This record gives sequence, structure tokens and C-alpha cells, in this order.
Amino acid sequence: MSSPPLIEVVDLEKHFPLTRTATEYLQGRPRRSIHAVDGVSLSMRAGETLGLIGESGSGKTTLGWLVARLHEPTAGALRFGGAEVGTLEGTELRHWRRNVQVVFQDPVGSLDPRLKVWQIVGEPVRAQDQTDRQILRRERRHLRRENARRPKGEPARLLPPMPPRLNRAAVRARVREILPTVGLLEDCLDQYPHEFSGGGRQRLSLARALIVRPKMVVLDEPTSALDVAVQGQILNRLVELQRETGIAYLLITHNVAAVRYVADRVAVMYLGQIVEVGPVHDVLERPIHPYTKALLAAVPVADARRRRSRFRIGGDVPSLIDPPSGCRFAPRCPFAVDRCRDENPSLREIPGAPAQLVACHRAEEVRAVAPASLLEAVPQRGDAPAPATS
Amino acid sequence: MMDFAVSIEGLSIDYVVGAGRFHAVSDVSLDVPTGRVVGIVGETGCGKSTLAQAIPRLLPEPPASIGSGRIIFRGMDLVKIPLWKMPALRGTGISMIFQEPLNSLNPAFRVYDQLVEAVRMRRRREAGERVAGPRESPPFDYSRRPVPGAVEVLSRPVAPGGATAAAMRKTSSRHPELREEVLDFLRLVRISDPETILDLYPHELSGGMRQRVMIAMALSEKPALLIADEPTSALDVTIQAQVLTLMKDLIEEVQTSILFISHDLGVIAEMADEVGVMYAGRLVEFGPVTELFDAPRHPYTKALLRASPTRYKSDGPLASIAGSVPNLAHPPDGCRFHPRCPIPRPVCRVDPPPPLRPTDGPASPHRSACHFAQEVESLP
Amino acid sequence: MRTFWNVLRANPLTLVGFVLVVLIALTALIITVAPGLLTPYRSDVATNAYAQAPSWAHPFGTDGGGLDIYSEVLYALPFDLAIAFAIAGVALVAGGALGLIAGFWDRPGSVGGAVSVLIMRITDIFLAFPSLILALAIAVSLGRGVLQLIVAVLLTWWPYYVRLARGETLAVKHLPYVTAARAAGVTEGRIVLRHVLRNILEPVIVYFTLDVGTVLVTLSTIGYVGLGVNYPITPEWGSMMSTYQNAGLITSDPWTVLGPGVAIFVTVLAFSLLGDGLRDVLDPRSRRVLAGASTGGPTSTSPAERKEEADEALGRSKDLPGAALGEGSPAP
Repeated sequence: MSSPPLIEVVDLEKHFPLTRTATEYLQGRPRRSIHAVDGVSLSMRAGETLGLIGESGSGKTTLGWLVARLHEPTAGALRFGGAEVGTLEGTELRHWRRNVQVVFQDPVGSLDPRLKVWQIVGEPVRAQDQTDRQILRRERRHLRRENARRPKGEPARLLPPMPPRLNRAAVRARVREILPTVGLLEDCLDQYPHEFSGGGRQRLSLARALIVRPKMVVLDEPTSALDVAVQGQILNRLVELQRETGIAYLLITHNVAAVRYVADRVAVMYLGQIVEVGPVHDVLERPIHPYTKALLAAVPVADARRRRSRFRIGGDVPSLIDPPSGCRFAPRCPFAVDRCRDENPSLREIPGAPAQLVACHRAEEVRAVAPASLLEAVPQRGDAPAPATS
Repeated sequence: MMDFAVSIEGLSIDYVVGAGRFHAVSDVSLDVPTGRVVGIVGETGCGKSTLAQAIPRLLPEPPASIGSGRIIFRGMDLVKIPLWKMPALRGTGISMIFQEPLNSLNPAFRVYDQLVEAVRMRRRREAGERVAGPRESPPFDYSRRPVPGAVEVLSRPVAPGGATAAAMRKTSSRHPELREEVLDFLRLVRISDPETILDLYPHELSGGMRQRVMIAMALSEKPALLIADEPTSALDVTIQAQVLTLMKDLIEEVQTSILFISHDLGVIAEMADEVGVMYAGRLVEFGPVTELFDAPRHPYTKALLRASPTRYKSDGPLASIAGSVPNLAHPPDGCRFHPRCPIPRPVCRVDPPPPLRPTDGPASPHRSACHFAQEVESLP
Repeated sequence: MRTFWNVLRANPLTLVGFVLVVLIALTALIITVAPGLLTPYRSDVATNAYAQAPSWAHPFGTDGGGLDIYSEVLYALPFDLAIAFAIAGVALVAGGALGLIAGFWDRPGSVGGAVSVLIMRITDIFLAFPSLILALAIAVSLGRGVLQLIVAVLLTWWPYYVRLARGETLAVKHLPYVTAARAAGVTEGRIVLRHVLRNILEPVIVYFTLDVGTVLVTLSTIGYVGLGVNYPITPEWGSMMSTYQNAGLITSDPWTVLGPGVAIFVTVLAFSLLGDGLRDVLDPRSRRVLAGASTGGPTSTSPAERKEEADEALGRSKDLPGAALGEGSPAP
């Protein structure tokens, strides 16, 4: 551990308060909130890809936005390169943003339809230039004041010069530089987003994220709106870029196959908490947590022999408002015992699988259960799915 | 001689937008045999949803226009039937479930009201068709099993014994028998404690529940053909698995023919008996599911199967299909896939492969719309 | 520009509206600088012909005071047009700005939220009155005159723009591209000006164009009722109609009212037709579709992408043997 991790998150929480109804207010009940992220601890090294998988309501998108400081944490520490960034604001925050950029899920909504490509992709460059100038101006003002107060005889300190304004041509040049890295031709600078296909738009979003040379990019469902044929192209490009530039990715998705390909490590989230984290090969081939097993078993596979399988995990994802005490997966878990309903397990190491952290009381006992056992091979008639007791 | 729920012959559908015509569906022919599940798979823009919505004539006909072809259902050509006659055929004839149930369930009505509407429609139909005279039906006994057999529930006439047609039409929606029917249908789709959701609005239900309600509504009229247009694409992975399991169970019990549309090869592999692959508005391959997935005979199908990522970074780059979907206002000449095909030949550029036609026989043979289908096997 | 003409060609009614608006604008311009080109008569100068029916010399006839109605209508044109534009324009700017503020900084529990609530409730108060009645009431209390007329209508007009702007702002501010701009480090103010304002401008401008017609009718109504400006001194269509009606000329000399009436009708129609078509012109997306599918449908790719994917196919896809022919997809 020579250098601090790129991103470190300790007991991070993000709660969105709900407005109280009149009756709740009158009854004096405390304000309820959505516990989108409820005590997450994680770290990422430079140049690695961490996959964050989970379903809707897992909090993975909120966690991604927190890491990019698009939200302010309600509790917990958020550190980048060792420094606390959870409390940054104003110009400092804007300046810091060049380190972590985001590619959003919706290829259509992510790009301003009224702006041309060079304006969209070049926007971060201009914004960061503005921020730099703001900081420089402040410094110069400060120095000027100091100079005015200096005692006689002492030489004045030199003011750092203001760089020339970043003009159109400079921005366009930067955009022209970055486009080939995402696989677009340089002559599309003056086109509009709607002239591109879904895959093309995702490339534009990626170009916009990469143009300020961030150390990390948060990718929020980058392939969900794309066809299978195009997904491969984008994922290939992401991996190549990482090999070339050493950039880190936080890949947020429900698409297990994308994570399998791109990620080095993967974290599985359920209802605002991480239930399992480890190297991608270990977690996906030998999942320990029951939810991870369920998730992997549920993914449809293009194999006709799966037609006889029946998925046996019932129940819906419960609400994020005032989550239950105890393990959050317990209501649906086929292996749940009383202890699971009372006590919320925390992430811990499991003997025999040192690289994986699992939040399950019965991890040692259930680790050998293969995901396939959550699927029934024989069709059953008429009975509701019965939970297995292992 | 196969019995078909619906038979589509040479169907072509265009969208007229502004100054252009998009050829959304071009000369597609396929049959859905009775009691079987036929899957249609393809990427965005291949025309599968257009095809699905055209069968019950649900496409908005001003921008869409059915150029040629026939849709044979119960001996009638649905293309020729005037639109005002179609509602009679929907419901018990052709029923449909959609991708986003928030859009297809009326958000202004509670679950109970929507289901009871379906039940009452069926009652009316059965009341009109029934021979006069009372008929005994045994009361349902919940003590024996928690989930009623689907066949029993669906084939039992919903009109209570002893009531005349006129009296049944006056039945208010709060009638206890109707309520029991509705609860039965909800139990059928594996919703435990259905009483709790009767009074909820669609937006208050989770996605999986909404989809189950949709399936309940669709099946409650015991349709001859059920069209499922991406029914699980909007659902989370585990919920999708639950709903697919439910549908598999119901398919076993209820002998409805199903046309299942999806872009997800895995889902199609799990659900369908026979699969058709569509590309750029054409049907490029059709065959039994196991054969099609194990030994595809069209380069597009093969490329699609290979493009589904199943490997780790360390195993090398992912396969993808070069190029992108053609503009359907000006599709390529000849074979529409030839610009992206790994084995293009000069003839492919000029001469379109003949459109697939169903043939007689106990099971559809594996057909491919490619001049060089036999070479596809040797592609890596 | 070419797409603009294509849009006009595609929609004949829009073309009619556009042509009419251009003609009206030209007429207003000429009347102001060189009235002699369009009419031999000067404003307010009586001719010798009194109460004459329409004829070649007087296309709309003359009134009891000997004024050529056709000329009066023309002289009133720039006045009415300018006032209508002025009112709608000020309402747009003031109301739009308030709506933008009320929409963008509206976060529950913040100062912006409180300000937003304040703005919206004041707007609601004004909206509670039927606009015409309110305008008339204000006009009565203020008395006659051009400025009074403008103020009266303006005070009832700005709330509609607040509502419109706020609604559009709320829709836009949650879109991913706004968040993306924030993630890039753009300041809030710049986000408002660059992203939000541009994207709400289109529906607001369209509304404005249609609104000019409505303002005109309101102006004329106020004039018709006898408030606003004084006709013989200042020509204005509504006041003209009011004067003639009060003089009982509708029954005896109906052509008198016809002149200004037709003018109002044609002007409002022109702006309405144009406003409808303007929506299609302003949106870069619908501009394309209307300009003809020959330039490519919604699923086509840009030339940049197609070529690059063909390159990729040639160079990179070693998976597929005999990599795709280098022609890429055909040009539309």
C-alpha cells in the first residue's frame, strides 16, 4: 500500500428526505427518508475497473453519483487520493471535477440537442478553463493585496500571468484530438447529436468525459440503451482505452455480462448496501452471497436447454424507505434463519476465499451452493415456489 | 395438416413519415401453430414490434400502412377486415401484453376495476352464447389447494348458474362473485394475498406485479393467440426470471398459442419452441429453437449469438457486428445484411434471397434466407 | 436555410402564413417611411367623398368623416403591430425570466424554493382573473391613451409566460445533459443560460408568435369597447370599429366595419399559421424529418460513424473471416 487508493469510501450514506404528510407532521413522527445508500465502504485503485451490479433500488446509481460528487453525502467519508472531497463546494469542487467524469445512461438525454458536437464535447474544457482562471484571479488579487501591504524595501512578488483566453479554435482542436480515441471521425464537429445512432451518441458522451483527461470515469449503464451488436464495440473500446491510458472505471450496470468482460473487481449491491465484493472471476464463478447466486441464476442464457428451468426466488425488492432491520435480503433468502432477520451482517472475509468480502451470517455454510440450484430443472405444477432449506 | 392459431403470409408494412416511406416489415410469412410458442428475435428497428402490433391491427394506420399480405386468423383475413370489427376479435381471439405495463394499464383505474372489466366482457360473451337454462357449477374449494389449476379456472364459465342473460348484464362490479373471479385470476399469476392489491393503482405496484396483472388480464379471456411484445424487458433480472417462470408454468397448463417478441436471445431460448430471426424488416431465419441456437444457418443469427458477451477481459476482445442497422427508407439492394456480412458474395449485393415461406409438415424445417446458408456452419 | 425552405414547402399553410407575415411587415415598413407608395391619402385628412361604398378609388369605402378607410387601416397597421409585439415581447422577457427563476432554483426547503413559491402565488392571483376583463378594468381606471393601453394589457399578459417558462424549465433541468454540464464543472449561471434557456426558448417563441395575434385581438377589443386610444387622432383597428359602430354605421354603411375587421383577421391568421410552422423549423430534430427522408431516417448514422465502422471492420474484426467489404453501409 504505497499510495492511497484513488477512491475511498467509508460508511457512506445518502438519504433523501421525503416531505411529511400533514398527518405525519401533526402526529410528530420523524421525517422519513429514502435510504438510497446506507453505509457503504469501498475502495478503488488507479487504473482498475470496479463493476457495481444490482437491480433497481439497489442504490448503485446513487453511489456512482456520490463518487462523482453529483450528490453530497449525508454521512460518511468520501476520499479521493487520500483527500476528503465530500465537503468540497464552489470553485474548489468545480476544479476537482476534472478528476472524475461521468457517462450517463440515456444516450439521447445526455447530449444537449441544440448544441453541436464540438460544443458538447468541448464543454468540460471550457468549464475547467473558466475555473482555472477564477482561481488564478483570486490568487492574483490576494498577491496584489499582500504586495500593497509589504514593508518598504522588500521586492514585490510576481503575479502569475493570466493565460490567453481559450478560444473557439483551441476548443475545436482539443475536440478533434479526442474524437478518434472513441472511434469517431474528426469531421463530425459541426453535426448535431440526433444525427448519430445510439452507439454514436454513447461515444460522444465518452469523448466528453475523456477530454479533460480524468483519472476516473463513472459509467452509468453505458450499454443498456444499445443493441447487443453495438455493445461489444463500446465495451471493447473501453477496455482498450484503459490499457492505453490507465484510467479507472466505475461501471454501474445490471448487465452481468458487461461487468464480466470489463471489470477487474465487482461489488454487488442490494437495497443500499454492498453484499459481496471481490475479483470478478471469483465473484461470478464462485458467488458466496445468496443474492449474488440468485442474480446469476436469473440471467437468461442463450441456450435452449434452459427451457426446463424454473427460478425459485420469489418476492419483490422491498422499499428503500425505512428499510427493515436485519439482513435486507432475509425476506427473500432461501437460507434465512432467525439471526438473519435480527442482525444486519457486515462485510467480512471468509476463510478460504480471502479476496472476497461477503455480508452474510451463513456465508461459510451456503458458499458451496451453486447458483444453478436456485433453478429447478423439473417443471412443477400448481405449487407456489418453495424456498430451499440447504 | 398443422392447425394454426394465426398464419401470416407475405406481410409488408410501411411507415409514411413526411416525405419518406420506411419499409418496416417486408414480405414476412410465418405461422404460429396451435399450442406452441413462436419467438421472434431481432435488434431495435428490425420490425418485430411492428409485426406484433399489426396482427391485432393495433398500429396507428395513418403513419403505418399495410402494403400487402394476409393475416389469417380463424379463417378471416385480418388485413381486409374494417377496423371497427376488430375489437370483437381482440380479447378472446387475440390478446396482447406489452413491455411497459405502466403504459398499458390505465393509470386512472384500480387493479380491481381493470380486471373486472375483462371478466365482465367474458361474461357477456358467454351469456350471449349460452343455451338457455341453468347450469350447476361447484363452488371453488380453497381448502384443497392454494393455487387453482389453470385449465379449470379458465374453462369454467364465469356466468353463475341460474342467472339469465339480462340479469347478468346488470351485475354491478362490486358483486361478490365477480370479486372472487378476479381474485382467482390474481392467484393464478402467483400473486399471494391478492386482496391487498385489488384497490391499488398501477403506479403503486412494482414492475413485476404490474406485469403479472397484465398477464392475468390477457389470459382471463382465454385467447386463442397471445402476443407478448418484450414483456420482461423493463423488469429487473430476478423479477424477469420470476415472470418468465410464471409464463412457462402457464404455458404448460393453458393451451394458448403465443407469439413472443424479444431482443434478448436468452429470453427467447428459454421461452420459445420455434424461433424466427428478423433483420431490417425481413425474416432471415426460422426454425426449432434447439437447432437454431446450436447450428444457426444465417450469418446474422450466428453473429448475433457470438456478439452476446460471455467472456472475461483476459479471453480477448468481444465479437461485435461491424456497421449498423440500415436506414429502412433506403435499404440496401439485394440481401439487406450484405454490407455487414462476413461472407458477402457478388450475388448478395444484387439478388435478395427468397423470402421464407412456411411449408407443410409436422414441424417447421429449419429455413434460412441466405444464398449460402450451408457455409454458415463453417464460420467460427 | 435549405431545410427552412424545405419545411415551408412541406407544409403549405405555414408557407401561406410566412408569406402573409412578410407582406404585413413590409407594408408596415413602407407605410411608416413612404406612405405615398401605398395610398394617396394622408392620415386624418378628409377626402371629399363622404360615406361612400367601396369603389376603385376607395377600396374599403369612406366613412362619415370622409376618411378613406383603406388608408386608415394601413396607417393603423404599424401601430397595432408594434404595440402587439411590444406587449407580447415585454411579457415574454419579464414573464419568461420570472418563470425561469421560479423553475430552476426551486428546491424544497431552500431560499430558491421560497422565492419560487412567492412568484407562483403572485402569478396565480393574476391568472385568477379573466384576462380580458382585467385588462378592461385597468384600462378604464387608467384612462385613454397609448401608454395606458399598453400597461393595461401587459399587466394581464405576463403571468402566462411565467407558467410556460417555469413548466419548460422544470422539464429540462432534470435532463441528463444538465447534470452532465454540472459534472463538467460548468457554473450554475452558465448552465441556465447555455442549456436551460436555449432549450426552453423554442416552445416559448412559438407561443409568442401565436400570442401576438391574441394580443392584437385584445387590443382591438379594448379599442372596440371604447377605451384605449382615440380613433380619429390615432388610427387603431379596434377603435375604428368602435367609432363606426357607435355612429350606427353598421346597418347603414356596413363596409366601414369590414375594413378593420378584415385587417385584424388576416394579421392574426398570418401569425397563427406561422407560429404553427415555426415549431417545426426551430427544432433541429423535426427539421430533419420534415426536410425529407432522403437525407436519412432516424436510424441512420452519420458519415463519420459509418466510415469508421467500416474501417474497424477492415482492420479489427479478425474474428469474422474475410472481414466486411470496405464499402460500409450504402449512402442514403
